[in-house]
Amino acid sequence: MTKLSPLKRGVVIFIILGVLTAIEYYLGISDVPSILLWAIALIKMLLVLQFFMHINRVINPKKGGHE
Amino acid sequence: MSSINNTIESYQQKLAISRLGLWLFFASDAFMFGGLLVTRFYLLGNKNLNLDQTLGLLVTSILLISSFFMNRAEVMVSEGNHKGFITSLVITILLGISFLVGVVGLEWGSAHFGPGDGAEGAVFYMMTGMHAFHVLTGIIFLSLVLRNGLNKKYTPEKHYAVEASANYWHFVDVVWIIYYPVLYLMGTI
Amino acid sequence: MKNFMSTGIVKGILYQIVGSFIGAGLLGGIRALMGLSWKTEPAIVLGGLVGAIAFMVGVGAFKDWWKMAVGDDVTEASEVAGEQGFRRYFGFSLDHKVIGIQYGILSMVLLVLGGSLALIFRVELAQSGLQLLNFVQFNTLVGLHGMVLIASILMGIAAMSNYVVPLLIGAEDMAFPRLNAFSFWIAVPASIILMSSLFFGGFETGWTAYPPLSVRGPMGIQMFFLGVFFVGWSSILGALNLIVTILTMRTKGMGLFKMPIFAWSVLATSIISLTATQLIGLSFQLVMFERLLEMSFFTPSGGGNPILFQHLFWFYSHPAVYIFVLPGLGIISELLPVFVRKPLFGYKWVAMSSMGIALTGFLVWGHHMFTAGIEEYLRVPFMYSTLLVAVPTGVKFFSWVATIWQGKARFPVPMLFVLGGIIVFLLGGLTGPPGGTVSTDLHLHDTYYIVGHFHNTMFGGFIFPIFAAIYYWYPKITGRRMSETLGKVHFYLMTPSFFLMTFGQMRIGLLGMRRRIADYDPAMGFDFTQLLITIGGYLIAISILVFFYNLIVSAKKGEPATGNVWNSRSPEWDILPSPAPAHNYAGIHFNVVGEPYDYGLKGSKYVELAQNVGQRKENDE
Repeated sequence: MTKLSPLKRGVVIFIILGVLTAIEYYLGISDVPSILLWAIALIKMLLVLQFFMHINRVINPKKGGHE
Repeated sequence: MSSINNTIESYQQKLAISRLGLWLFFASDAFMFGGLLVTRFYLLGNKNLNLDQTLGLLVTSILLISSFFMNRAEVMVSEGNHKGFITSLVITILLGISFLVGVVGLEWGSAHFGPGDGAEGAVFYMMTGMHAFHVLTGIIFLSLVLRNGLNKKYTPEKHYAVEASANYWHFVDVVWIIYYPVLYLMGTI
Repeated sequence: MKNFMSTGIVKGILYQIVGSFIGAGLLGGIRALMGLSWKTEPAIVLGGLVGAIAFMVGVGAFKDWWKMAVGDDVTEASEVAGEQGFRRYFGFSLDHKVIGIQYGILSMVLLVLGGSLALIFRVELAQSGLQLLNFVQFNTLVGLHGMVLIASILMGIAAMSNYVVPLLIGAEDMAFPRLNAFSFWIAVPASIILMSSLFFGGFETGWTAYPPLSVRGPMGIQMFFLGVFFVGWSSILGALNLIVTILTMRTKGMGLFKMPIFAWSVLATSIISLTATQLIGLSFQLVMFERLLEMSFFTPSGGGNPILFQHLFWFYSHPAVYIFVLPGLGIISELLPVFVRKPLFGYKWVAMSSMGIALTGFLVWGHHMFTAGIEEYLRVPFMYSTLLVAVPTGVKFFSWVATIWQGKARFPVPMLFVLGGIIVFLLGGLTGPPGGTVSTDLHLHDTYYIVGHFHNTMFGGFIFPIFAAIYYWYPKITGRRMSETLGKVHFYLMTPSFFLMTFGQMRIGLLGMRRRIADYDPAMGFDFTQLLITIGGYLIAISILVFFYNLIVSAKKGEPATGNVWNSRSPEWDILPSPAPAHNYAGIHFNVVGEPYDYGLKGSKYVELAQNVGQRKENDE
């Protein structure tokens, strides 16, 4: 992931999120245990936190300044 | 020379401070959204709200796409691509507005209960309403960023306002990532 | 006159009055356009909301933020030349020391208001039968006494942390000075709105505002909710600011475990108020919406559940008591070594115990609901988690005792209040477990025993320590010392009166006196003890009047304080002159060269001016 340019990384993450949402939807309308939906939601949340919100910038302030 | 170094250092320091403050705000706000989540499960348990699934998927996709363009806008401003930044930002704002129209305009209008109709209505309107309020404030922040962006106030080096409002926008998206399955998909009718 | 009208607070209040009418009129107008009749309740809610925002506009809180939002440059907060003299305390200032004093003034004003409310209903309770008040008035006074004093406590800890923390950690100011000023000023309209609930019919629920009573009662409850909501904003934003300040703005060389201990307790407190406060805001908001829009969150007939409110409410309101006491306990740990001239025993353990109390505090809320009808299987886990809090609290007590052990104690007024705080808080701690244990709580719940226990913890954890803090840092603020004699009168009058009050409360509580009721059966035989409690309450009030007299008179006539008044090691006494200069340590470089509390160790120093280090190096060479 780190090798990709930021723009391309955004596209990849977006596609993963889209696929997960589609899976979530189909699982949701076919009455599966909600634990699966929670798991998918959690993965989506972590993806956004890591790659869109750059949570490590606050944990490690030296990283990802506006170079 | 040293004074330039000083200002860069103090800008970095300020950046770190502002970021920490913003994330603490997210943590605080997350507790409020978490409280609503608890409310939903405490009152309704494993009960599905029986909402319009197509509309639900539609607004979710809209918000997801808007988050994607928000990310592009932020990356582009840090790369100095002014035109791309403005375009992506405008798309984000328009998608944000369509999300609001979808939830507040269509979903609220077509739902089979009103806010006063029992616990389902109360929970549904409170959760979507609180989220919509955050989307609305996000749109306001983004509009201000757009205005300043058009006036070329942001440089690849200094654009914390863009980063902050982008993060806020993603935060609102994260909330919906949790709320969407909780409101639309989980439970049995 | 023009000068007076342009003072921040006056302008703010005028804006708030106008804003309230505009808000109320707006709602009335919209309803009229929709063909609906006038309805007071939504109108006052919107009026209160618009009024509070208008206050903030009037005081000037949004001026700089607006400039930032439209992309204009704003002056750096450290370069803003604020007003000078006494006037600056009544306008929008960015200086953390001014804001600290402002918080302090507001806290003391609320302390007087909240205390006076108690004095009124104590007269009613001094004798069985109804003499003075009717039931709604009594309930309103009891509820407001609770919430106004909670606001006062929140302002008081904000005052201490705002004034002291940047000085202790060697920062120039808080991390976000504008946000800091905002979080103070939002509390002013909040207090006004909170008090205004008296004029809208009052409310019957006490400060806990349990539904279904709060859903049905008079509409004063809406003003109560709105006031608490804004106080909550103040608390959340203030906590955010303090966390960032403590984590990022310490002077070079001051690691987390070299901070003065008070900073640790403020950090722990701020973690709770940053997060948990959202839940009381949410719970009150839900009741507010249930009243306004008939959303049935808490009405069983509509599918709601009143127990949910208690869960949400206590998730904040139990940790809230740790918010109230942790800074006070931090003050005790901070001041004790100074006055016994010994290192603080087990610094790291004390620091961690604050964190431990804060984190355990999140897991214990259910003990308020043992009799409320929560699931049976929840009772015992909540009992154990509650009793677990005694462990970190015990660590603090052991540390204090071991610190005092064989120390060379001096007993000026701050030390008296520190010792008083320890003893009273010990009493509060010992009376707690019977309330946290299920079997005994079933008998004690909602009795005056709980009232007594609670007043013990609040006096020991907040009232005594804040008085200690005021006597201790007063010379740093004004450059003059408070009168020792009057301070001793204050202490020796307040402490026994407090014991009279609290032992009375616990005694009749154990005998079956219920709390929050205006009348009791004379056959119970409580009349004499109730009278004693009332007398104790009035004596406390008199002692606090002595304190205020001392506070005001000493500012002009007190003995001038020069140098390190208490012979303390912390940087604000060791390095800065009194009164503390604007921008604290601007232009002064100091290094952290030792441990904060190594009192009595020969030749050891906590902080040292940077040039001294240079000189010493030269000497060594």
